[in-house]
Amino acid sequence: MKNMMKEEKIKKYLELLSRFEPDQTWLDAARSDLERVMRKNQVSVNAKSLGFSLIFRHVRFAAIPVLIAGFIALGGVAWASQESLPGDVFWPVKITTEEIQKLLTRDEAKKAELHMKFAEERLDETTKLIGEGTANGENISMALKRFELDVNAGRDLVVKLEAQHKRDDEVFKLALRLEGNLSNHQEVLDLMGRLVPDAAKPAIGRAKELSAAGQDVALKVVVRTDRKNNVTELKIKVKENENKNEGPEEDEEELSLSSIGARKRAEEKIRAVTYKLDELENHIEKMREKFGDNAVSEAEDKLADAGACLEEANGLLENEKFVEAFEKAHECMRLIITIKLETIGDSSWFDFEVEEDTDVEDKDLFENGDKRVEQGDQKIDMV
Amino acid sequence: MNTIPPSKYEKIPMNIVKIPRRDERSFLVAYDAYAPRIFRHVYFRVSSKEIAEDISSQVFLKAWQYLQDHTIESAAGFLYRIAHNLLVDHYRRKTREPVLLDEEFERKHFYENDIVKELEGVEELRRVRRAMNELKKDFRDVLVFRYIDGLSVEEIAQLTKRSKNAVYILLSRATHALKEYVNFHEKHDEGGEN
Repeated sequence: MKNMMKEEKIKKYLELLSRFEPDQTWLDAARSDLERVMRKNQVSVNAKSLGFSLIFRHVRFAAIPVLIAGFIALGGVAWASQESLPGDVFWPVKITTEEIQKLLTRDEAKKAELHMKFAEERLDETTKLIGEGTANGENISMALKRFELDVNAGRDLVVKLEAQHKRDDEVFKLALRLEGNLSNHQEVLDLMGRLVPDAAKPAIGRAKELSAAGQDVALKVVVRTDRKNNVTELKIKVKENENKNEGPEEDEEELSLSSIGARKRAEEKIRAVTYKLDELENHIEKMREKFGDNAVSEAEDKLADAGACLEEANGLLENEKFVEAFEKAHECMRLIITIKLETIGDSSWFDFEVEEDTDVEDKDLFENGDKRVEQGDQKIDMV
Repeated sequence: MNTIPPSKYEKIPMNIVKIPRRDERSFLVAYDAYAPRIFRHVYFRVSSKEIAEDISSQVFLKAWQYLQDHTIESAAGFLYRIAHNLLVDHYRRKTREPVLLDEEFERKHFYENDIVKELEGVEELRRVRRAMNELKKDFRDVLVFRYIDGLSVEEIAQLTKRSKNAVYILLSRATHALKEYVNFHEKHDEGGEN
């Protein structure tokens, strides 16, 4: 009798079914139906397209100066440029508006957030160009050049803030967000790479490489500031307890539980962990081909542990045990980062430095001997 | 077994497409990106090409109606949710009718496909399909979400309104049940051959 089919093989067949594609005829017909329905709806309104872009298209050559002057007077230029795409007349106005916004923002953390937001906006624009069928080497390069500037500036600000050693908690969150964004951007760019004309592919490739390099930097900042946060968080907790001076005598734990700050921090931490867990799941899927099914299924088992950990943290939060919820979420975050580093440890993708021996900093980083990062006999030094 | 080449429609991140209210361009981008995925998802849950095409078309029409007054923050999640709701309605109406595989459609798409021919097991794939179709709905649905749609456990949990742990457990049971069914068919087929 033949060997019975193994679970891995069955999963492989299921994966094969996911390669199945519908009839192109149906896809085209359903799209046409949708467009027909849209045209009907169009009669009712489409203020944005009717208001500016269509009118502007008809009269742009003759009336550009007049229109521009009119818009400035009405403060309408910025509004009109909101929907513009690279290559449109108003697109430079949109970019200038964004630049002014960045210039007016003094706080560097907020400035870094703006850079992230605008980088995302450039990718949205690129997606729209592709959807419209107007993507070409020129407009994609315009968008992605701006994207690169914003990614670089955002990354540099995060590194600069970290070096100032003043706002570790904020830097940790910023770096976490940057890392997540850049991870998403790579997937989006990967998809775009398959849809754009050949002339636009080099720009996509560059943006993807830059995002991967930026993600590497952000991840290192996450790991470094996470360690510093242990100390910062403890200080905040102690301070909160000291500030509590009313009501009957409560023990230290009770005081922490009742503090609003603790609830907020626990919620934020859990949100960050949830986001990170999702990211990790995506990473693991992406790594399936590189590491093989066995490595991935090991990682998936660990992922289940992280999922269970998060459930516990959520349970504690629901029961208003904020400090415990925060600590549990922190533990989950460590677990997730460890899994991520273990999963990508063999890859040159992130180019972590690998040393032969464990040093003191490794021990500090993964204190309590719990989640040590190991790859065979080697330890990964993230500092 | 050979490595399966990447699909034309690789996994698209759930949050890439935000569709502003009444934005036709973005909506059509979402259609191009997600229509094959939505069709595939529906097809493997109903096993009928006609029904799958009908439900998938409805998904996008309903999404467009919704878009008249709202912005869609995560297109993929939103489309899956509509598809899931329409499928639940469909299941309610069709509970007592046996689900038959669309053999002709599957022959054309799977068994005569070059990738499948290169693999050793056209027959094995046929058994997996048959077993999938015999699984109870919850099991079939979670397997489709996870392995065919490539959704994360978190995403499945959100769509099916279960906890993540419940999804992990359901997934594990479904995979085990599928294996049992496939192996049952394999034994049965071998018995027939001998």
